[in-house]
Amino acid sequence: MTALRKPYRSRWEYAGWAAAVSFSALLLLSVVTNPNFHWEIVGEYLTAAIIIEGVWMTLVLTAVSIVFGVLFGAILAVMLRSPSSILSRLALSYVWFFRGTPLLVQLIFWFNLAALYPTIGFPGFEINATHLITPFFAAAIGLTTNEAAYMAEIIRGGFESINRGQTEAASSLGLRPRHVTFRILLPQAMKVIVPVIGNQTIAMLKNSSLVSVLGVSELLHSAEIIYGTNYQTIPLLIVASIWYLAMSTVLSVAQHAVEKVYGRSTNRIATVAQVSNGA
Amino acid sequence: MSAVAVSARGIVKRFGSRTVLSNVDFEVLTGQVSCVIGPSGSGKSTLLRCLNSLEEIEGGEVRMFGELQGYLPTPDGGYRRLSPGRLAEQREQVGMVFQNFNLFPHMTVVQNLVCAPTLLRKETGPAAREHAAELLSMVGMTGYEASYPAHLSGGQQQRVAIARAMMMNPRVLLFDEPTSALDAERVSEVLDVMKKLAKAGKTMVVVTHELGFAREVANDVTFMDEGAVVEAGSPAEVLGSPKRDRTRAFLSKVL
Repeated sequence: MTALRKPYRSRWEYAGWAAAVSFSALLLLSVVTNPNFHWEIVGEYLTAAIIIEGVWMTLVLTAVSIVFGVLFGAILAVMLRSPSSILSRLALSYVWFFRGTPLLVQLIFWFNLAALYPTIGFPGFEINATHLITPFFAAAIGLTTNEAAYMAEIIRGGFESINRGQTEAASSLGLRPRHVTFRILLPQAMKVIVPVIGNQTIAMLKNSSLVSVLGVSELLHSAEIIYGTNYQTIPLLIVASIWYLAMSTVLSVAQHAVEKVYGRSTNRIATVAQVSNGA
Repeated sequence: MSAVAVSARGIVKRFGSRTVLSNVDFEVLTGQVSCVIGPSGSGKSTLLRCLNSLEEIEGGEVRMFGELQGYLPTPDGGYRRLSPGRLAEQREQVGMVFQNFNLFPHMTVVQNLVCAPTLLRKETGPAAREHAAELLSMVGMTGYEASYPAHLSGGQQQRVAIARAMMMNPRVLLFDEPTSALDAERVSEVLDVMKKLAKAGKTMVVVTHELGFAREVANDVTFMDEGAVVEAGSPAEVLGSPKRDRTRAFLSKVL
């Protein structure tokens, strides 16, 4: 007969819980009952067509800039790790520039590219830049090129976190460099890279609101358009925040699920019995 | 007299300004076991790594069955490093076992084994799995095919690593302190596998601190200190009646 055993709890923990719960309840009560928040307006606009369109645009911008940011970042990471000093220095300069200047400045720069280069191309094949660079195009390019710089460092870091013995063991088997990179190192680097990409995606979801300055009708801009006419700034910012919070919650859950999958091979629980039977 | 399998001539290896191998000669005949012993930092592991072109060398040359390793001779009498692809081709015929096992942690035991022969198209999937099953039985690891390396003890991991190194049917096996990271109790299970391979006529170079193994199994023992070969010969000569004071001093400390 084993008696029930409880883990140690400080008595301050109970006091802390009591304080935290009562404070949260009071805060919630004050927010809900304060008529200045205009919850009826929040309710009215939460599912307005223009807001839903803004949600879609935010999702599209996030997806595009993360997907292309990862692809472009992976190419930059390969360049950073390359034994060729031309490639590594090119990539290093890119990362230096795009991480070193504000995203907002980069976005405005892309938006105004047509002022610097009215036509893009070469003699015989020229495109009018003002037609090419729509607000959406400037936003997607700006977010992607900036994200790629961060992704390059994230992916390079993932590769560098792997013990050098893995490369040596793979090489000593005669595996070619491409096998070593894609079959041996990449799957192990993914364990480090994927959770960070999840983080970056959540950050991008909110950073994409910066493109509202370009007039791209993503979520924040949609809210701005509405409060620009009815002057209900706070309720509409609450509407946008509720959507941002909902989307980032879904992404967080997805991120945890993906992390579990990548944690498989080092999960020690499954075959402990086998170890004690064997040897 | 059997043919020379591995020969290193005048190997010079520097890390920056520090010379870790100075003019080392080393030779192993086909089907023989050669043990390299010596204190930490004597350059014995570096020598082994040079044999497999894991290190670039500043002088000398390594040959396996007559073929120059890691470099191409240039017309001006110098050497040019081989491309990564050519290095990989040369390494196919040499198996290597590391102190820290270096199994691929994201692959199961059987995936670790079949990975090289299938990726390099030496064997089809089913043939490779059959080959893997044979080798796992040889190292006493039948039944662990689906386990991940993290679930195995050090001795089990090292036995899998030996089986993995054997999958490419290498003509030479290199062991870099294969039992140094193991609990005392686990050492013998790995040494037993290595004895089996030696009996089967595998050409082996073993860097080790296990003098008992060297005495029992090796055809040749090389004692290294401070980046140079101090003494080489049969186990009876080097371990039984060493000629050099340095060898005697080392042996008296480890025995």
